[in-house]
Amino acid sequence: MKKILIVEDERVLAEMYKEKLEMEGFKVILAFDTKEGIELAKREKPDLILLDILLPGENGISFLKRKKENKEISEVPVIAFSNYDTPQIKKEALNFGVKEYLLKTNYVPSQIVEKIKKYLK
Amino acid sequence: MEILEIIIFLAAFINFFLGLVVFLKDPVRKLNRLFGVSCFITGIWVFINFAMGIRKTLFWLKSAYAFGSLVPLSAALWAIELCGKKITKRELFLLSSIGLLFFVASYINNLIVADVKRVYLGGFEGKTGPFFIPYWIYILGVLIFIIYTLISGYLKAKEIKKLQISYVIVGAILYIATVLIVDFILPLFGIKKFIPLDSPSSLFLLFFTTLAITRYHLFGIEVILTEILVGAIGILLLIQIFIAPAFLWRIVNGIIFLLFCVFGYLLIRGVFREIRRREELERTSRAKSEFISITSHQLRTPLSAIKGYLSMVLEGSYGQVSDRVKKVLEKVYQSNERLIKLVNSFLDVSKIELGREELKLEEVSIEDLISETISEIEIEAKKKNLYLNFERPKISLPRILIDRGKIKEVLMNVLDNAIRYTQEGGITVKLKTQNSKLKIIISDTGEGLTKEEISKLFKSFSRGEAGTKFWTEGAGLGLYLARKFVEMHGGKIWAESEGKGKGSTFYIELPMKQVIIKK
Repeated sequence: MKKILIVEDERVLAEMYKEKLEMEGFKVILAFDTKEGIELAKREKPDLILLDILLPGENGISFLKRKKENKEISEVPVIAFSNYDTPQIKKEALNFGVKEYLLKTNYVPSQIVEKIKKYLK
Repeated sequence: MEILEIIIFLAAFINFFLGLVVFLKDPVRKLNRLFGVSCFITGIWVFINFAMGIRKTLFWLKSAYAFGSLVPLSAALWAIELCGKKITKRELFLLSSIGLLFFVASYINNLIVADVKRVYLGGFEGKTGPFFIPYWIYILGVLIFIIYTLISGYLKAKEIKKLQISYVIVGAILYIATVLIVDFILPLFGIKKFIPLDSPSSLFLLFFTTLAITRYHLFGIEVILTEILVGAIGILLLIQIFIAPAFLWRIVNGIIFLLFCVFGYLLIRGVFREIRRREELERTSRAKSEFISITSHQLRTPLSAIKGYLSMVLEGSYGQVSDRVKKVLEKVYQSNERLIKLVNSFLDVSKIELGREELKLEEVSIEDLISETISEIEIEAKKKNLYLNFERPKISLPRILIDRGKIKEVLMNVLDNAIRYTQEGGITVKLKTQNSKLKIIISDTGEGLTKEEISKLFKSFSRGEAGTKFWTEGAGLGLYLARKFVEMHGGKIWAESEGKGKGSTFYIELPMKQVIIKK
């Protein structure tokens, strides 16, 4: 069973994506901020990370920076999904090697599942 | 007194006066104190030049050199402070001692000025002393140092400081240019009578620096131009009083001068007010855009949740849904999609208004992009039994450099608009190239537009008359955004219509920029 880590501070959205992914047969772990996200990633070694960018305290970019510095998790693929999409932030995230930068309002959960499956192959 | 002498005298007076104004504005601030001192020294130097014109004696000549050596020094100290540069006490001591050395040397016989035949306004005839060349090397060195300090300061500075320094640089360039012209270039052609204008041209520097210092908030160039104009006319009128041949004329000129001062003051005050009002307006508009940006981002979270859960319900993730309920939920879903689109438009508008929108240029086949857009929106036309045709050009067009996403949105908005306001018939899209420009022509058999509607069409938050009658959907943002996006590409968008009931045609014109392929 593939393991997905969702880093998302909006509980309603986190729960929603978790529910959908579990229906699709994934094991899902939730983190609500960057610090918790990094800790869980190191402990659980997920197969993919779904990362929100606007997070309380340190944002998603800082998560990507810390992930890159941690050798044990630096290779885990990340899909960034946010409702914040200024060109600078997007560029920064893509420079950190995120697979895609998705705008949440543009995708339904099943489309996100498709993206995840694509990058897990 | 000659006009030249009057100008020099006035220049000395203005130096003292402005130095005092800046100093009194904030005597505690080091920048103001240094500027005051610099103005005072320059004032003395200009006054000596004036005195030299009246009494052509060796004493005044020597004094001109003496104070002339202190002028660039005091300006340099002030420039260092303005640009926020740090200098050590040792460097300060060294710089000041050299200046003082030349000051003293100027008064010692034979060192700078040796044998004098004749002193005249602006210089002397005779032999120069051994310190003469080092004196000028020192002056030039300090001037170069000042320019270097200002330019490096300008490059490092930000916002208001950058503006302030740029003002000073403009003043310095005007000052130096005048000195070069009257002291070096014109004498090459045998014209020496303007040499005395070198010292009063310090007014250029003085004027621009005063503006830069006294204004915490710097205003647009229009105020400065108004002030320069008013100031220049004022000085001319003042000179007229002195050189008038008869007493009566002096009185008349005096009255004209006084009247001019009053109206000049009112004029400058009017320009100031206008600019303050405009600034206030810009601030409000910016705050509005920030507000829209923040609220729109906030709105996206619940919208994503609604969209996500609804889609899951519709997909049957929570069990079978009856057709009746499904139909209702689909309507809710569509409404939510519209809200998302609206919020995205708000965000785009705020991004444009805050100057945060950027073009991501790539090579795109415009024909493919049009086909792609049409295939996405076709369903809307079919619902209304409208045709939506794309007449491809016979010869395929080269790929052009555009922001794919933005031009697609432009096409989407224009097509969406055409479908919305067409009840029968349909829409045709054509392509034309002309003088390295690409024209996308979208004509419909819809309601048509009046001239007044056309004039409002591409403005923010406005809608055509027809829109208010039949529809309430469009917030009028689509075409405004389309215009902004096309303009960002250096293109044009406009509409034409022969009137009500005769359909309308939208034109999108884009420059055909292509990638140069390196062989």
